[in-house]
Amino acid sequence: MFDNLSLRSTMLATAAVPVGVLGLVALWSALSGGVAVAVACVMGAVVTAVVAVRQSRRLTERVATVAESARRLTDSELPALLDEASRPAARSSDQPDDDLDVNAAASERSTTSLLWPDDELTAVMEAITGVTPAVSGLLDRRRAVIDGNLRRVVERLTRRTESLLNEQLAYIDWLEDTEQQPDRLQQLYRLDHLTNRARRSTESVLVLAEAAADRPRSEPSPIDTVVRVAIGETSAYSRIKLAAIDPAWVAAEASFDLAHLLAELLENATGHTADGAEVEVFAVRLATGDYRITVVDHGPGMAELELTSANVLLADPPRFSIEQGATIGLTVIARLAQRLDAIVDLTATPGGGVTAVVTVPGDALASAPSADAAAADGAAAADRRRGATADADPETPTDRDRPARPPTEGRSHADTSVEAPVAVATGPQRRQRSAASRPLDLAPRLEASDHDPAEVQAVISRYRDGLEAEVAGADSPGRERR
Amino acid sequence: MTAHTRLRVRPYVLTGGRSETEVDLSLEAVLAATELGRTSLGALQLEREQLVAIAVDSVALTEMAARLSLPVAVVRVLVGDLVADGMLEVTADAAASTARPDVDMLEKVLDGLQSL
Repeated sequence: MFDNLSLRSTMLATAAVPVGVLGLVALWSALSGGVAVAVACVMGAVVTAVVAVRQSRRLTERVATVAESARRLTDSELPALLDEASRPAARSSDQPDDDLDVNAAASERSTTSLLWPDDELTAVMEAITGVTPAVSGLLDRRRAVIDGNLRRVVERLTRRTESLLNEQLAYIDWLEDTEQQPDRLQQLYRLDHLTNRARRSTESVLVLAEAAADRPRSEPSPIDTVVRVAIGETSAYSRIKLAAIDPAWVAAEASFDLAHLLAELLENATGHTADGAEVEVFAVRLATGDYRITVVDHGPGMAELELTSANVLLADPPRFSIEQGATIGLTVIARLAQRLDAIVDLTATPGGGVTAVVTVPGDALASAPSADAAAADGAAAADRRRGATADADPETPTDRDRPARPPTEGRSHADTSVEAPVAVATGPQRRQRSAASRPLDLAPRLEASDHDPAEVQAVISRYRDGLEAEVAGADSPGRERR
Repeated sequence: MTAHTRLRVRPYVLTGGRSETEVDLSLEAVLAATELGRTSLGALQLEREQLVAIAVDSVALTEMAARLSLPVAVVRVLVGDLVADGMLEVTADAAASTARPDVDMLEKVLDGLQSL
């Protein structure tokens, strides 16, 4: 600590020398009769004394300011910065006041020193001013490294979980495709649903960790597929009603994100409405070329202030932070919307509830595949069906290996006319045709059956023999009839 | 992973979580669109529209599933709904009329399999 008083007296003592000299000259002049010189000297002594006093006062003030700045730096600003740095995740929401104090103090100092003369004291002040930003920048860089590492760990673990869930889903697909018992199928559907929900929440973690979407691009999907994939990832999916849907194709790279975004909105909507209350989805193409999907619930709704703050968050999502808590769903929606360049807006449903409006830019839509392609290659139509509905054989590697061909028809399933099935019928995949034609031939004959169990058994065993012979590569004795 | 790199509507979404039909319907059933079904074409949604359109000419349940690349169990539920709604009718159903296939038919199956 400085002793202001002693500093000041030292400075005044220094100033007293010229004052004393001038006083002596004045005395000598007065004695020798030079009145004018004496008066001038007295005035000079007075002016010198006044200037000295004032300068010493200013200098003392500046030293005091520097001292105070140094004290605040060591006593509060640096501890505050270090304290903040020790809690890496608790940034913006937890300690905005400290942050503000530190910044305000730093800027106040730099404006102060700007007004000062260019001397050593100012240099000291500027050095003190530079400490906080330097430390803060250092801490920010360290935090970025830690955050980055943490994100990478989260991402890696989450991707592993995601891949396990995908494997589980493929297995469930296989079980579902082979199961004919309705009650067991029912159980599989529940398992399927749970797995889909688990996968969605896993993918939400990836979105929050700002991990890039890593699903292989395939081909455009019809909007009804995208919407219904979203419905399938929602807990109370049976309460969601697809009220209207305009035909459109969603570009491959946008389809997963859009489905995820809609699933989060649908989860919000169904989660905030009573059991049994329907949530409606309207999907329409706008005159501007954009596409709009509206999710309407008739629940208790949100207060004006809640809606406003939700929309603010949707427009500008915060960074990954542990404090997000209740707003995680909204943050995921906002992030996905950013990726899609889409706008999500929440409004009140007339009569109660919340209406979420998603406006997807025309860029996210794929152009309507041409009709010529359909005529040229019927298999593409079958491809489209697969993309649009479900894969009968999900584990076939051809799913990935098949060239990503644009689907053949722009028509949506919502307004498919009679032509759509015709297009499929003209060129189904060979495997499908052979599988399909047989029941057609056999079924009428099955109707008029009359049988002897022993004969049936005989035919079956011959069939088995024939198969075995064929497998053994023998020239099929089983081919010969009785 | 191959299967889930593309979007696929889950079967429980297509059937609303149901695995059972309201009407008795075997996998061997042959269906045809009714007059109501034909006149409703263009006004039905998604798979319902496609199924009725396919059944304008009478068609087997399994073939409907193959044409839409949907699991048979899913198509069975959807077709059951359409029958209950009067859009489709069952024109033949082996399982409903008899418990076992006849020998002639099995012979033909055998022929067919051997000639593959």
